[in-house]
Amino acid sequence: MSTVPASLPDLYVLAGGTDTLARAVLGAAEGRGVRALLCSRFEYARVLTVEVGLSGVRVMPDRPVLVRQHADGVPPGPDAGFISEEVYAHVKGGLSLLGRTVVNRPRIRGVSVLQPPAIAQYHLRAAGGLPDRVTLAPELFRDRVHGGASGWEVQDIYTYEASLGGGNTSREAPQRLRRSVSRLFRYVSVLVVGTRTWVSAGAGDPLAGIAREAAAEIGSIADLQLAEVTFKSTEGEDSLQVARVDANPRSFAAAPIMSQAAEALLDLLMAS
Amino acid sequence: MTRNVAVIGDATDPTTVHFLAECAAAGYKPRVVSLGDIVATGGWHLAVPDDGCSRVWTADAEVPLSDVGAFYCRLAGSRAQWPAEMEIRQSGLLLSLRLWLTASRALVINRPDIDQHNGAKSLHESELARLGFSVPDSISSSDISQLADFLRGGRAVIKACCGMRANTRELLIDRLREYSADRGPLHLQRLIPGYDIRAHVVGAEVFAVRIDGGPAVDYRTDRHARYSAVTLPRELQAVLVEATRAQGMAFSGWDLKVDADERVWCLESNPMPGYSFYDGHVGGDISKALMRQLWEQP
Repeated sequence: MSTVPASLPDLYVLAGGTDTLARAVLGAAEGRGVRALLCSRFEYARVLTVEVGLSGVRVMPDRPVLVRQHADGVPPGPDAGFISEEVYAHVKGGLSLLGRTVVNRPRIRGVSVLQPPAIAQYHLRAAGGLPDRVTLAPELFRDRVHGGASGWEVQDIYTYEASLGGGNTSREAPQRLRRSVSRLFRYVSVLVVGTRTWVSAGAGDPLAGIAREAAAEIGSIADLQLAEVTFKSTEGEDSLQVARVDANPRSFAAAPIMSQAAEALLDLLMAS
Repeated sequence: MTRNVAVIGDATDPTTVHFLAECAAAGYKPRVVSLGDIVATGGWHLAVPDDGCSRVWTADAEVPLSDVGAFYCRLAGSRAQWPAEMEIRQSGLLLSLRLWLTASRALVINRPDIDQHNGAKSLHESELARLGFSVPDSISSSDISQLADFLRGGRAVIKACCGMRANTRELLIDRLREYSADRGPLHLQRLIPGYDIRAHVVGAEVFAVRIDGGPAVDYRTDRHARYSAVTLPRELQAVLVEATRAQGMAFSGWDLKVDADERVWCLESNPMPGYSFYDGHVGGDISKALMRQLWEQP
């Protein structure tokens, strides 16, 4: 028996106001009469209570949650940094222990939407169980780009600002170099929601079918209910390289996929 | 063939400094990855998967990493006050090393991909309970009425939700009047009167110190606290060793409380224990056990 007051929403969506996927989920929820509330991590932390004891764990509110990467909403002030860490830890604890569906649920060991996206690929590598005909693209971490970086996408690992070849980065800062995924190269992107998949880019590639199966398997290995997996495809080869695993996909702007993904997400969230 | 060992840490970290001194005294010569020096004067090239050329450097020396067989790492920010640009370099170096070490095939004490729950107290306490420990009741909330209810149920201490190191203190219900939810959530845990045990697990070895204090809630603030090396009951040692292994760690520090009925309560397990102070109470045995793990563990 639930002890949640009736005035609580049916679903929490932790996201920024401009997040198009979150907006699509809110729209789908409204269409089904599901009361969904968009809020920041800070706002959610204010209503969240976690009790741990000899008699077990209790997390309130007992409602499913969709978590998207966003500014946490902590008001500016002299203690904002500390409050932000406290809010992050409180929400991570609550969402890890919540008995309802959380997409993507923060994990003790593994990928989390609350972590930098870079972590995803490394836990995947650590899991060691990649699908057949799929390899992981190499990556480099440097204090700065020494000379040119042709063929690489150079990402500032502090701001996530990225540019092809490193030519447009605004300052010298620690860099992450990944194989480029751009119009210059063949690639296939697959959106994963639970066990459902959609090819969001490169649908004409002969390996798109393999990519779709592999993306579903990678989502399962990485314990991600929502992800976009991008593969680099090479002419004349029948294997794919995983170039990106994004636990917070935003780039699949195609409207048909957006609405289908939002409906699928809502199915997942409200199943618990 | 001797295994190459590297110690990753910062010159402002007492535990790193202590371990390096113990290594020197024992005749071991690890490679030293000095985080602050790399940030201030050097750089890094870390490839995942390793390309055989992964390395870090300072103005004075380069430290190759690809041929290292075992790492002891304390990946924490320097205690030095950096300008903003250096803070960015430091966080970039720490993230890069975490990712590189996660993918490394070397022995890493402790690997960055171990169970990560110490930084979220409610999750941490739930995991400790799942591992079989008695854990004091706790609440994390911004709801003043629920916090007050918890305090009415018995004495409680306040801790940071994020695991940031701070002295533990008792929270009295009257002080709740000063609390505002704008300041973030509170984590309260039931206070357990009794004596403290700090136990360090290295592989299958356990080194424990008993701490008898005065009225202070946190013995670290008690000038009259008395420390003595103790041997824990064999069953408790086995539980600590197994719980350390189950969390993916080779080295851990455990904060235990023993109440008047001799019931053992677990307050915390530390995945990157600052152990130098306690090492002095066990004759340096923690450092020696770490050296055995790093240089001799197959």
